[in-house]
Amino acid sequence: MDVLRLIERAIAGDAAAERALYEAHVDRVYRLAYRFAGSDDLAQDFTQETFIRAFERLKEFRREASFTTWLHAIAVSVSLNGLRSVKRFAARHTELDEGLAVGSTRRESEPDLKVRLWRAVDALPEGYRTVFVMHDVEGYTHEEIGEVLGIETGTSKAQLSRARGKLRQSLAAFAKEWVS
Amino acid sequence: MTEQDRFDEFVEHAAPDYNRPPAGVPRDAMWARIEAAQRAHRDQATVVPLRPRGVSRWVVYVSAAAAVLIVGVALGRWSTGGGTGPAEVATAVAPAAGTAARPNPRELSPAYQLAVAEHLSRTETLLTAFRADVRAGRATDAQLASWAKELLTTTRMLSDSPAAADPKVKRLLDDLELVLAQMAQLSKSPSQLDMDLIDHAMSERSMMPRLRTAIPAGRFSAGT
Repeated sequence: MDVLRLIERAIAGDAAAERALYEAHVDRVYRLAYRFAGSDDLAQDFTQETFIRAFERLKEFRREASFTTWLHAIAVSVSLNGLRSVKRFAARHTELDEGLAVGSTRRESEPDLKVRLWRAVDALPEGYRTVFVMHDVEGYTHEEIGEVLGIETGTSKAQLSRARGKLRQSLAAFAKEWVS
Repeated sequence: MTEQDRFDEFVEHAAPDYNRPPAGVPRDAMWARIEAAQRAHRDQATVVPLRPRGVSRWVVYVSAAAAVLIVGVALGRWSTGGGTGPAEVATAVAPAAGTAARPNPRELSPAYQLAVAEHLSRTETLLTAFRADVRAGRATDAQLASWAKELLTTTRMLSDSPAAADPKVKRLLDDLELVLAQMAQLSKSPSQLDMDLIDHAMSERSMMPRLRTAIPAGRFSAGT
């Protein structure tokens, strides 16, 4: 059924229409949330919150825009806000853990280059990481990223270029490995 | 090929594995939680206009919960034969010797079932609203601790009544008691850390899915 018709029915309180919208979009939203969060629990929470907010604000959806873009914009906003809260929470715990672990030594085996790259992605500034995840990991075009994040296409390209530059810098010590 | 090109090639090859999602998406579980949150939201919206000015939504819920519980327990005692003083309840929940004497959960009076279901439904409303506030980074209602205290008292009453004869219900009530006890101790403006810890405790015990499973579908609407 036509998305606009489903939206109209959902606004009128038709639960089946809400469910149909959910079924049509949940996989992509969950996938995107998971890419940002890296955990099933968080991805589920972010996905749920995305749909709850979307259904609450369905009347605000402007029909000339794409519903997918509108929904993904909510998903990105929910995920990034959620991650900020989680990081604040984790930071407090880390302080406590570090206090307890004083004097202990831990040796880790050397991670491979892929793992180093993922850690470097985790450490990117939020704006760079967002564009990197959407473009290089999830395959959004710069035009789509621009619409979802509300930025110019050129800004998206510039952010990606800076993100890659930062990653390259972070992995500079291992250049021989990716060159080979 | 330049070093930059090689790096881009490496990134292109490695990026798809970054935070790779699992193959299956838990669609039904997420949908159930979305529906419950919407139901709780609608119920709150229904209650708010009806309450007198200055009376918190928590107070309205507590009063309704207490009333239902009292009626439920009274009906339960009346319908199970009348001679139901505290001594009989104590016998029914005595841990070792009482096992055989405990009523069969399948034969539990409808009034007790009603009281349990209503209580779980109202607890679910509190936990859903709390969780939504935590996740959205909003301040919780100042009356949260007081509502949690009332629900905690009810939970303990039910836990010590024949309503807890079903081991599943008993376990659920025990876990609820722990979570509600944490909430009852919150200050009027709790820190985000305290709230996150409770949220974590809820997730760890799978409180929301268990509550929703225990509440008969379509029969109880929290907060009304």
